[in-house]
Amino acid sequence: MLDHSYIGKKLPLIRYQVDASKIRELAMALGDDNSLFLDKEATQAAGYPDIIAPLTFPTLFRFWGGTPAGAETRALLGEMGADLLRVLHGEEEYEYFGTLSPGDDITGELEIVSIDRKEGSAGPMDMVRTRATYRDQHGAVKVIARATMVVRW
Amino acid sequence: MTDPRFEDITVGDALPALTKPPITEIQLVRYSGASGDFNPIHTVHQAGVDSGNGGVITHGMVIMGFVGQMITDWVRPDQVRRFGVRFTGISRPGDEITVSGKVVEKYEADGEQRVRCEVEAVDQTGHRKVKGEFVAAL
Repeated sequence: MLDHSYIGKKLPLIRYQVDASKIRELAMALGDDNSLFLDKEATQAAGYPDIIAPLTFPTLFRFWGGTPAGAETRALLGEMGADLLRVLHGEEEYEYFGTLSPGDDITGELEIVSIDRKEGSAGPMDMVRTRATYRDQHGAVKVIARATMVVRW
Repeated sequence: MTDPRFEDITVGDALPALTKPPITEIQLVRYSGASGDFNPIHTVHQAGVDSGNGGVITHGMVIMGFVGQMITDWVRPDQVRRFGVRFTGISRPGDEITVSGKVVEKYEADGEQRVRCEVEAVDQTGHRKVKGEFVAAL
């Protein structure tokens, strides 16, 4: 049984500073050679001030931007009582309000939205839905990330 | 990117598909470092065995990243308003992933002309790994 007291609880802030090296590193790990992610001159020639992050870049915020106390989702699930080897990523969604580029200083608030028990063919599962709202240094919302983690027992 | 025009799009149109090179264990190591997701089931063989998967499995976000690549091969990143997926199957090193999609809706919202598209990623045997959709302003 997961600790349901985490639902709606205020969790430690996520802080992440976007830089060109991490954008390149993610694009290269995915094997995505889009010049908008890799080449500042090409990006500027296309009318942008600097390179742009790939669509799944916000996943870095919770992994690299968490505090040691653990804003990272899996660490949280561990605190809540899950066996981490039995946690699956069920869903991920991003709602974008602009692109991410080097210099963006991101602050994020992650919250556990809901926990729903489901009876699967292999036993009970808890569907843990999270939402993170990421703002830049000007307070503008850049992206809202929603995820569902599946905790099997 | 290909700069598609709203007026040239018909609901049902297929998006240009993307087939990726086979996933490698090294790619999973690189992706772990890039993303910060160091869950050992993606890189440490014994952890993959202990988790009941028989060996390492791919981060779901690698497959979502492949889908994202297909999308931004078609439109620019700043045209994408929403992008979401459901993970429906695990992938392993050696799997060759193909991403495809089609336009399912054309509409106007917030003063923009938008398309909603369904996307999916399958492996070399046609087994589906990811199903999702995105919205782009054209």
